[in-house]
Amino acid sequence: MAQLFILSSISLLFIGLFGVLTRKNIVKILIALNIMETGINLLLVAFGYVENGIVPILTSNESIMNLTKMVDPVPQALVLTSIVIGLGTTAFSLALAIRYRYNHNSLSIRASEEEEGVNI
Amino acid sequence: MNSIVFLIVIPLIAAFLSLFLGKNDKILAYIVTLFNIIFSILILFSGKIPFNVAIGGWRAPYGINYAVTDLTIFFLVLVNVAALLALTSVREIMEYQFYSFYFVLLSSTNGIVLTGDLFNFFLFIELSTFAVAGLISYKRDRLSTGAALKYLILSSTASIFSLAAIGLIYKTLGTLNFADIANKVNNLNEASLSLILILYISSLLVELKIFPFNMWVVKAYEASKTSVNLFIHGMLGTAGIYGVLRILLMVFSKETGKLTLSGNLSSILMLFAFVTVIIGEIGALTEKNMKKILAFSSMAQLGIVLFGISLGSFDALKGVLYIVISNYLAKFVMFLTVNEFSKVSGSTNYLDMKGLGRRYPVLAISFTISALSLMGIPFFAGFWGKISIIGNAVFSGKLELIGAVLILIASVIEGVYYLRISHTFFSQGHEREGRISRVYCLLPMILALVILFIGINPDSFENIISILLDEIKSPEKYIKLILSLK
Amino acid sequence: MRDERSLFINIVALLILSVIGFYIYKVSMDTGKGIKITDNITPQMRVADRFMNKNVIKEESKYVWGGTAENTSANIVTSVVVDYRLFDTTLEVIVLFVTILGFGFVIPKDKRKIIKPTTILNRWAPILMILMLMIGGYMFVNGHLSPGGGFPAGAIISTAVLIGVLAGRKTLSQKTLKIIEAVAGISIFSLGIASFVITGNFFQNFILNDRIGDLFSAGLIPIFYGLIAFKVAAELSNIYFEFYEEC
Repeated sequence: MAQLFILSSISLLFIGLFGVLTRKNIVKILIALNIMETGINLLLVAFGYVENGIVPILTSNESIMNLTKMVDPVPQALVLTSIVIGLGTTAFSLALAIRYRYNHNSLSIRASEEEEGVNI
Repeated sequence: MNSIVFLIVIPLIAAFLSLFLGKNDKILAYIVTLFNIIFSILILFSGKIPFNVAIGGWRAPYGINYAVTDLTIFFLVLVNVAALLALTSVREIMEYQFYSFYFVLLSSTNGIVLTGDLFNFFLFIELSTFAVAGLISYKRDRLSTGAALKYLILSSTASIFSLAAIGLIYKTLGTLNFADIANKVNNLNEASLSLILILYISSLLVELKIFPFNMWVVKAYEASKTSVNLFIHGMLGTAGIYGVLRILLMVFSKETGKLTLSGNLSSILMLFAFVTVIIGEIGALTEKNMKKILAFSSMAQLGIVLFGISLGSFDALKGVLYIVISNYLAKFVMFLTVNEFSKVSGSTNYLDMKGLGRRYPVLAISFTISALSLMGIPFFAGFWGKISIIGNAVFSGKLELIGAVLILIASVIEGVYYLRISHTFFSQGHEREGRISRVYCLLPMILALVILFIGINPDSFENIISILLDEIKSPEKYIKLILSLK
Repeated sequence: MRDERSLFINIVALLILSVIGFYIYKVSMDTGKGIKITDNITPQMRVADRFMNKNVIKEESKYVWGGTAENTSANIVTSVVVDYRLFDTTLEVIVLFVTILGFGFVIPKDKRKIIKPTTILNRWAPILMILMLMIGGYMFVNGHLSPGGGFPAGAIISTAVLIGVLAGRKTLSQKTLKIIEAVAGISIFSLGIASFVITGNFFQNFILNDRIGDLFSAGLIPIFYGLIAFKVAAELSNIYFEFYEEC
């Protein structure tokens, strides 16, 4: 099971990376970045996975007996932080994209070069 | 010495307070920066170094810890002094967001230097990324929005890679603490370690302006104000160099007491450094805009720094520390000089600054001194750095020999464009409106005198460097200090 | 010309990706000695073991349901997030603060047309808002017992504000939001400094001797989560008001 989780999250990472590398539209790049962030969050959770594991929440005295069956709580804590970072990146860069559209009248990442006539 | 956390907490509280203070933000910025400098100098002379602080009372491998060693305190003082020096170039009234971003950048660069936890380090780098992106976009015009957007996209992509590396480290070694990783890294498989290192280094290379991640540098420098350039150069750049030294040489080094980068990684880093030096020097040679020239030049200098680190010998490392300090001082002088001259001439093209050197010889001479130091002319601070790097590289191997030759060629190219600029400053020019106050000439002069002092009398600086090298030579002391806490 | 160029970029990107993929495959198939990235390592071999057994300070200490421990949060993820690695979480709050500040700073302020909300939305909005506020409040109060916590609670509370915005009801002024944000942010760090004064360590829990599983347990965790919830709610609502103010 854990292998499947890791494989799927790595493929999400690759899809996102491909988008970031090839797209020209800023909004598409940001969507690709979000796909990458989802991939990395799933990857971190998959790293902490235990076969047939249970949630690391104590509900009664029996669950304290089952500590060895619980999945790793630390990657989940890290993912909680990385989700907020992803949210922050998306919000800030979307605002910048709106300002970019306002200034350049275009959403292409190469807008300034295209106007100057430079062909890279 | 638990109070060390005040270095991070006080600027963050100031970041919230600056939302309400309006025009008094500038005074608050000076107060907080002076507090940070005085506090770090007090720690330097307290005689308690090295010590370790466990935040929240959770001991080292489990909670987050801050370690203060000689290397830390050296870079801590450098970062905080850079903040004060850069703050002096903020003349006009800024909006409150500028100061909030500045406070966050101050606390995050302090945090990068202090922290002893991998994930905490990553978070501080993220924080500094957002603060710098906000500062770059401060003008909100065409250039600055594009530059900030590119920087943000690039560094978040790189940070995703380093998050993957953190996950891999936690999966394999089961810990996130620097000292604990350094302790257990010998158990790790060779190939896995190089994968983790390659993934983790990417976010550091963004801060260091090294080749695959340096598209943002020139645009960001060109688009932002001089104070922001100095923030990026002095605070972020210096903290990034600290991160590379700590992580490459002390945390992920496989043998204690010897610099070993696993596998082919050191030659890959060396190639990156070569490409960075070539791009930087050629870019600077063809450019007329002073800010772009300085951006390209600092890229090239950091390329030399990375080359010295990847050489893997302590003599080269001594040279690296010399180059770090000479680049740190010289770029301050140059940016401040260019800032004053461009205000008088009304443009950042150096051809428009003709004749200004005759009217303000102090500034122009300081500029020339720092240019000579960057080139590596004898009896200037940069010379001692370049000579020990080249002297070490020549007899080490083929790739290293190419690097040595490359650095020599780079010095010649630097000489061509910097002396061309100095010559333009001193050539005959026409009369101009506008004056530069004498007070603003004082700071570049003092910094240039420091460069001269280090260059003529390197023994004074040699002592500090040998203390720092002693720490890098024996990472087991660092491990012992952190892990044997009660 | 343009198509050729984008085709070229696509091919280069695919090459880069395949090189990375091949490298990762090679590393995972490596047969050298030492711990490999494909090894099966249980949480008991990591630092998480001590977090789950709550014995970071004293190795032999044990705990029971309803008893006391070094950290009395029943939700172990919460105990990692808000106690063992609390400093990360405070920095995370700052990340959100900086990005939302940057958002408000760079977004262009121009005139836009406002669409009048329908009567249904206008009438139902207060009822929905009350329900959402209750769920949000429940989440941060129970963050140490059940899944949830300050960040989702803040997001839910800010959604309540968003519904108010959509219904044309302006519930809070932007100045109030700014004050809530700054007060919550400053109090998080003031609690850290307070614990420095009381116990000598930053961000140490100084409310001790409560029982695992109680509503009022886990020391400072509910207080921190409450502050975080208000701060996140104020920041996210700020985004919605940023668009509302433009109208």
